[in-house]
Amino acid sequence: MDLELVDRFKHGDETAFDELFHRHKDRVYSLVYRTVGPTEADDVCQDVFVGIYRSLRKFKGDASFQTWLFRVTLNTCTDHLRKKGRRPTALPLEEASELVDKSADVGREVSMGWTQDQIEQAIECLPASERSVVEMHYVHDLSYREMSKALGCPEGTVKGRIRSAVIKLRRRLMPLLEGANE
Amino acid sequence: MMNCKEIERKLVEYISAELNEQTMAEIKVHLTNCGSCAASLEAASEIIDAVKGMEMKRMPANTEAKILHRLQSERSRKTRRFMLPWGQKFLAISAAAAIIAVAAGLLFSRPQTVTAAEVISRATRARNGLVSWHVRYKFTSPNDTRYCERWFKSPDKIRLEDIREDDILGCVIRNGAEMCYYPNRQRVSFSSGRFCVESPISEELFILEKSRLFSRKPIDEITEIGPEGQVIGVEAISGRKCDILRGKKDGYDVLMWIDRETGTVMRSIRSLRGRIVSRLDNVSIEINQDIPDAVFSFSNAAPKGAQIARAPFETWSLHTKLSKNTSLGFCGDPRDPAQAGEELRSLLHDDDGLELTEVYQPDYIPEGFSLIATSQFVDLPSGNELDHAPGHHHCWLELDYVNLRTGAMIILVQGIKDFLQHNGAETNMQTEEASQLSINGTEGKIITHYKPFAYIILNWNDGTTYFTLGTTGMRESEAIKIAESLRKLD
Repeated sequence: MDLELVDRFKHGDETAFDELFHRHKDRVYSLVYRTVGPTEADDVCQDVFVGIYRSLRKFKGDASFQTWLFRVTLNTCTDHLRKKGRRPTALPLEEASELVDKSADVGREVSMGWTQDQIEQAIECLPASERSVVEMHYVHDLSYREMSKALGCPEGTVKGRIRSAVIKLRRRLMPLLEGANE
Repeated sequence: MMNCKEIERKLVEYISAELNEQTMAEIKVHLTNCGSCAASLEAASEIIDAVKGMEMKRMPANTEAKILHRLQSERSRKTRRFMLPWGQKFLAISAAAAIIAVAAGLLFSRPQTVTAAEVISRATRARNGLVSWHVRYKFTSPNDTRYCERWFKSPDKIRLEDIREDDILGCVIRNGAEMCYYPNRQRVSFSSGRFCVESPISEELFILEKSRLFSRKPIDEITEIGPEGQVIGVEAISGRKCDILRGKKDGYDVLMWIDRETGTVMRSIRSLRGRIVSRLDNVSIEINQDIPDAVFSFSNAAPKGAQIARAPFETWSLHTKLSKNTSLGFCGDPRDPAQAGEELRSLLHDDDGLELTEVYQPDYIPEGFSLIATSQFVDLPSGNELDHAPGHHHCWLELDYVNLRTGAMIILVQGIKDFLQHNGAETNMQTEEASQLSINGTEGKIITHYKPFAYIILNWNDGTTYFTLGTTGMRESEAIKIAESLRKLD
């Protein structure tokens, strides 16, 4: 379906781009939101879609459209963070802990006693590079190979980021659970 | 043998079963003997499950609106970019550059001639760029006044309602869908509801299939005038700058005012040989306002006071594309048969090309069926939508009965010509499938189909009037009994 729409767009059918937009807008938004944060997601998303519009004709179909889409999205996020003079890093640990603590008793419980807010905020504490792989792998079901293509880095790097993210999340989330059980 | 540190490094892939068999087995053995690593595994699994349960963020409507707006600007820029090199090329190949430059300057300063195709394309893009809209129209014709209300929310939520002051005009149910007769609504269509009411006079088909949500951009009116139309001017309606298009549609002259900013039709007038046949006037328009999702859904219950009918088959239509009525019509509340007789008589004396001089009504109708429509219809070569087009003489009267509980139908058509033959649908009657039979001493034919749904058609004439009786959900003997019970109205 995506490839068909891309083909139609390449042949001048502008409505095909609208369809692609509606099919993927939430995926892109979600990835951007978790990579650059909620306050800047709006601006970055605009840049992402304008970028996709300008470069879609260059998409050759070597990778899946979603992988390519995520690659453009992540490149835009990285550029944005670089321009803002920020490295895609995590919140300071103290600030992160505070956020996690604050959210201890609010929000919907989604799994094992953590609330959606607690998980969201724990993810926000990760470096952007790890946030994006967590989002791609666990929310959008991209494989290591697809993520490696989207990120333009070796699969080993992707695995390392996932591993590191899970360890950090465990460190931040498990104490909340233990605290609640005491 | 791997130690605890190495195990720890591979736990995430172990949980996702993305290691080779040997490593998986080795870790499994380690975990059964090492309480610390087993606890780590459990913790990591819990974390991963929690993260997997995380919801995808949905793009907020205002973000979407901004993106669509920027894309719109991007498209305009692209168009300009394409134009510029051609202009430069033109100048470059000119031998007398200065003169040509002046000439070109003069040329470009003249008002641009915009084609209908460009206006339609621009309107479509503008419409596609909207996040939501809610418009109201007043539709007027000599026989009808109704209010049309339309909601759209990107990407595919649509609700259309045509509200008449009197009653529903007609609708069709297809593909196993449920029809909801909703008083005063001539047409109600939902993008994601479980039913849809469809008008037979409309060319827009909103076929509801239970298994598929329909998705359609509401650009129907704009494309009524094809690219062969003309742009005849610009005029503001309710403060909105509109391009005026003139063209033809189904033999009518059409004038249409299209809002440049939103692609919305602000006014549309149809005329036939200088006489206005219908007009559509925009009453109100709201753009990119937040429309609650509930507006688009009747997913759990029909509206209060609505009646439900079911169509347990693919589609039902006795008529062909050449016929004015392309679908079975429902016309409001079940009515008193005596009143139906009056309606038939009035139709008979309605001087709109009907050449029938007598009209028949069945004395026998199986239990559970209600008469819901009496209509006169006209065959028009273009499948035109005028209810009583003058000058056409292939007219029939139709009675429609429906069992609102089961969806079974009885349709009786009578006219001075064979309806099936005239509409090119007699072929089946000439095949071996059709059997001869006698209806009150008159020769006729009967055919029973089982696919795509079970239906029976009887076709006969008494020398003056041609009859076609179509039924679903009943035995042949029952259909014949109905046919034999026909009685001429006094």
